[in-house]
Amino acid sequence: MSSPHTTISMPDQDLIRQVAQRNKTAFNSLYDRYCQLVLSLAWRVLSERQEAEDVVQEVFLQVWREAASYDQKRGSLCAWITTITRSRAIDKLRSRKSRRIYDPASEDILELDEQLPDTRILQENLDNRILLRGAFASLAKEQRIAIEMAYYEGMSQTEIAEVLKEPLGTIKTRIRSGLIKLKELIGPSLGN
Amino acid sequence: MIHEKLQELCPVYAAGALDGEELRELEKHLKSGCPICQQQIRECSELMAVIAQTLPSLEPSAGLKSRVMAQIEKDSPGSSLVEFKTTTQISGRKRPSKALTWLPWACALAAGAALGVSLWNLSNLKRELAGAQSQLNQQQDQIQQIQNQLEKEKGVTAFLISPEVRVTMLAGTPKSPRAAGKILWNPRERKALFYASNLPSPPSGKTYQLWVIAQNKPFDAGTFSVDASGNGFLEIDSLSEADKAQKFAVTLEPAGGVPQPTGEMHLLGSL
Repeated sequence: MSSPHTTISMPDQDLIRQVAQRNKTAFNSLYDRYCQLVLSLAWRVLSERQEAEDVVQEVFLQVWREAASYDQKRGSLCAWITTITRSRAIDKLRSRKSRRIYDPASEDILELDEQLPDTRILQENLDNRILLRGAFASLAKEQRIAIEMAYYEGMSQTEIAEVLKEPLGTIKTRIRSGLIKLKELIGPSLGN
Repeated sequence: MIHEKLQELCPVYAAGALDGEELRELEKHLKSGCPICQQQIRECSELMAVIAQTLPSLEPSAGLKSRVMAQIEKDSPGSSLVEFKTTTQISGRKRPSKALTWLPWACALAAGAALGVSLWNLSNLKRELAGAQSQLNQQQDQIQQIQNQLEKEKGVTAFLISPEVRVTMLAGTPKSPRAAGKILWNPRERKALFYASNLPSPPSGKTYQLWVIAQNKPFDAGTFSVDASGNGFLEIDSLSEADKAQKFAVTLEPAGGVPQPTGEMHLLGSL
């Protein structure tokens, strides 16, 4: 059994391997590492704390049960956990009887500093996150809105085009060019 | 649908927005095992995870971790209960229950010695007070750290959104084929942010040094260290010859840096 100190600094790939072997100390460290990301993403989709915390429980239970099926060739652990979280949160959003209508004008998407960052994150991670935030903020507003409507609101390209009253092709281009620009800006950090 | 068209749909698919016939066609194509599209979707999924990381952090409620751990326990029949402390749990908070366990013994043993118990309680209270004071100091330090970090983030964001900022990618040389770097720089303001990844750990007494190549001459832009994963960062307030820069390079030099490059080159990028 690994000690908490060794699992805290363990790389993601080793950590998930330990979790797959039912190591609860490793799972504890994995939870500490990803809890805030999972909660923030679920909360951003659902705008409701209790539901967001329910998603956190579901996501970590799924990670615990399916750790052995994680394949690093398919992407980073962070991307895997993020995909599970987004999928569960969007399912919950869609199961609501009435959905919030996305209004780009009301979304303060540039207010990236509205809440305080987590002090437990190590300095190098903070430096990295500053770069990521800056890179996303530097995309054109139209690109950010299209990406956010798809990713956080679970809207299809057709729905986005209808809401924004833009041609479907324009929405596709905005999402694609936004992601291409983001990749150019953060290329070397990707998947770290 | 031709492959190029399907490939163009991959970012839309990764963002979760693809629908209708296009979604069915791309999923069918992916099932056929196209490595190019699968790779593209992998990359875009990493980018979506990056976007999620830009969200403001939300502090989980105190009981959330216990609920998650209780689920895991339920899911692992026959395993012994392992105690997991929540990150927000304060060590001092557990003392009253410990004291309660001891209290009957203390009372039994010290019957008639009420003064002793009082002194013990007093000392306990003093310890808790000292603990709370130390925690308060620690939290004040954390607030200061957060404020400094916010200032830094605001500065970097303002720098990055300037239309004058240019980006130059640096590739690893044969010395460090896996290494990569990127410099974001403003030629007019002479400010720059440099990021490197996958550089080998420098031997003792050596450090990495960044150079601006202008008019075929190298100009020192500063030294930087790398972490265990080979990632390095350098913030430059006054980039030499920023307006005439042709290339950027990273060499391995004696600790403290040198006025002219002497060591092996690990990264190089041209405008």
